[in-house]
Amino acid sequence: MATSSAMLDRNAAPPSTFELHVTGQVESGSFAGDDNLYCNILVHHGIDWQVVAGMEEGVTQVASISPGSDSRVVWNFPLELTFKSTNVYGWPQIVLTVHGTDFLNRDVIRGYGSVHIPVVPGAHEVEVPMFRPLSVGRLPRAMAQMLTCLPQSSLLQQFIGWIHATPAGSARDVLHSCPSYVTAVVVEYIDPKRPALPTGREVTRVRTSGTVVLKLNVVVRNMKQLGYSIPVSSNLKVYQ
Amino acid sequence: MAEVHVVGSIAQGEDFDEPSLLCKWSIVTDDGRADNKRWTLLEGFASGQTQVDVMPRGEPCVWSYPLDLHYSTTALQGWPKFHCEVWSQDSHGRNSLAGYGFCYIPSSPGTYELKVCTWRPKPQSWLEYVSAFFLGAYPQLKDSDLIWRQDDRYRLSTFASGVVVLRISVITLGFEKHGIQYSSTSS
Repeated sequence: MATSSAMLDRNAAPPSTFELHVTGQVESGSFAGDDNLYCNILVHHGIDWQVVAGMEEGVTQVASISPGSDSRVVWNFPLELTFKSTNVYGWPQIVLTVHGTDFLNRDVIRGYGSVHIPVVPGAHEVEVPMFRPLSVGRLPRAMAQMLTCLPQSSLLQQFIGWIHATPAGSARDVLHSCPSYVTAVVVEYIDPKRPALPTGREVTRVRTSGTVVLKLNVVVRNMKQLGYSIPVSSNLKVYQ
Repeated sequence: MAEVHVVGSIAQGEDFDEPSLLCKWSIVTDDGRADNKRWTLLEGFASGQTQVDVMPRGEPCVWSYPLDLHYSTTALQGWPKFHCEVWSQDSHGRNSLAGYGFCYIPSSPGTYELKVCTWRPKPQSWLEYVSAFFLGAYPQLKDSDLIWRQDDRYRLSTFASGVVVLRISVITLGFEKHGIQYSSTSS
C-alpha cells in the first residue's frame, strides 16, 4: 500500500492530506416487535473527502430474532473504510437504512438513521437512533379523523393499515392512539442519504422505531501535522 | 487566522411534557453584531429546523440532526453560541412553544455531550394561565435574540422545561500556533 511506504519514509515532504481509517461492525439492531430485518449501509461525506479503500455501500443479511431472546437482531456486518481529506468539513457519516418484510413479504422501511464517524481515535460503541418518516398526506389523516369517530372500527382500521402496507404488530404502533395507527403509512425518502443531510427536514414527521449498535475503531493520521487539534481522550464529557 | 470545526448532531430532547417536538436552532457568532465581525462561516449551515418526532408524551424525542460547521476566526471573542427553540406540534399541525435554550460551543477540542436546559416564559395573568392550560398557548418571546443575549432578562419570569442533548466534537486548526493552550487531554 502506498500509505505504508510513505509512513516509513521519514524524509518525506510534510503531508498535504490527512487520513481517517475506520474498522468495525454493524453489530445489531433492536426494533420493538419487528423481525426479519436487513440493513443497508451507505457512507456520506463532503466533496473534499475521498474513499481510498473499502466499500462505500453494503447490505447485510436478513436477520431474525432468535427464539426466547430479547428483540435484538444480530447482523455482525464488517466495515472497513479509509478516507483521505484536506478539510474536516464534510466529516463522513454512516447512513443506515433498515428494511423488513411484512406478512405479505413486501419490503417495508423499518428505520433510517445516520451518525458521524467518531472524531476521537480509539474504540467506540455507537448507538444510532432510528426513525421512520410518517406520511403527511391529507387523505390518510382525513381518513383517520373520520375513522376515530366511528365506534368499533378497529377491524376497518386494520384493513386500511393493511392496504397501506402497515403491518399490525409493532407494540409502539398499538400503544399509540388510533389516528397514528392508521396514518402510520410507510413512506420512504427518495434520497437514501436524506438522514445525513440537514436540509429539508422541517417538512417531515418521523417516529422513533429502534436503535442500531455500531462498534467502530477509529485511527486518524497526519491531522496533527496539518495543524489540527483533535481530542485524544475518548471519554465523553458531559456538561450541564 | 484560526479555524474551528464542529461535527456532531442535535441528538434528542428529553423531559419535555409535550408530545411531538421539533427543534429550530441556529448558531450566533460575534454576539450577533454585524460591525466588528471576526467570525466567518466558511462552510455548513448555521441554522435549521429538525423534523417533528411524533412520540408519546414523556418519551425522549429523537432528532438525530447532523451538524457540520466550519468557522474561521481572528479572535476568541464572540465565540459561537448554539441556541434553539423547541416547539410541540399537535395533530392539526399547530405549533406551541415548549422551550428556549442556549449553550456555548465548547472552546477546546473534544467530544462532548451537551445538555441544554430550556425554559419558557410564565403566563403573565390568570387568563393566560387558563388559555395555556386548555390550549397549550404559552406566551412566546417577541424577540428571540433574548434567548442568548445578556441584557433585558430581569423582567422575565419563566418555567423550567426539558433538556436538548447535543453530541458534538470540536476540532480546531491553528490555535496552538497563536499560543492558545489546551488542557492535557487534548493535543
